[in-house]
Amino acid sequence: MTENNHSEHKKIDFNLKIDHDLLKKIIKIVVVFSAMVLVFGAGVFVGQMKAKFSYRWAENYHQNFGGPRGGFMGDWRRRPLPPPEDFVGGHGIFGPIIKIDGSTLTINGKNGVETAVFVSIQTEIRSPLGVLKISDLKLDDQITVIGSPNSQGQVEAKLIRVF
Amino acid sequence: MTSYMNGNHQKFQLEPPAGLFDRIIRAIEREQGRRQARKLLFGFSALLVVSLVSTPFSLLFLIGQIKSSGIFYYFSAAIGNLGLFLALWQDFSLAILEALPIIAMAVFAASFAVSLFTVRLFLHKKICRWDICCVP
Repeated sequence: MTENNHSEHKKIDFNLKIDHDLLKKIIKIVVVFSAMVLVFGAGVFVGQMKAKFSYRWAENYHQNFGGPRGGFMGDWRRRPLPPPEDFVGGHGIFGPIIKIDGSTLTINGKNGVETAVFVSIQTEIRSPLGVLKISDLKLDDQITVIGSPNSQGQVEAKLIRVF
Repeated sequence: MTSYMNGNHQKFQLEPPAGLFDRIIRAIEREQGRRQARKLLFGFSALLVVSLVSTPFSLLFLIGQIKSSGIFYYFSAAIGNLGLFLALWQDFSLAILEALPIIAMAVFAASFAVSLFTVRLFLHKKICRWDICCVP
């Protein structure tokens, strides 16, 4: 009778251990899958933002920087998709100022891509020496711009940091 | 049981020793195991060499991509203006995410992971027991 109780206890312990191990594995799989979905979703979101700004930047190139209506590359929408690194980010720009036109700056950004930056009243312009105004900016000043893209293919600056 | 005749036309009967068949089968299995282990050893050695060579190059590529991406400028702007960073954390985060060199990071991570995996295999001798695959 005592031996039967002992073997019954062993069986129950073994079953509980299997359930516990199985549950741990299921939790691990769910956590890893959730992390993968989150990372993938973040990548898709960032990619969409870059593609949207790149499209608006190309559509408004002639308006912001000059050149023929259809651009120098003709109807670029009929061309094959450019590689991912060619898309232009609309939230962060860095490079020298190559043109100052009232409240619009033109920056020579990454890979030599020009980007128009719109400076509003709310834009904070900072340098190591302190707070600056737009009239203090000069050509060839190295700046970093943090802002958000608008529908004209420009970046509306919220912070301009002069290096 | 096999029967033989000698010169005096006397019949002998020979029986194989006990366990001969089992020993033959075990020797065949051991030899097959050795061949399999040698193939694995060759494959993983090649993989180890390729991954150890590619890892430093991919790291240099990643460092170059990070330098040209502008991420350091964004971090510098964030650290230099902490109050503004907290107010504009969404734009800062998106700027950094957009600037990340994803392809370089993926290539480096893959080559580093493969080299770690193959080094671990050799360190723990999981693919080659000296007595199985290296002793003739």
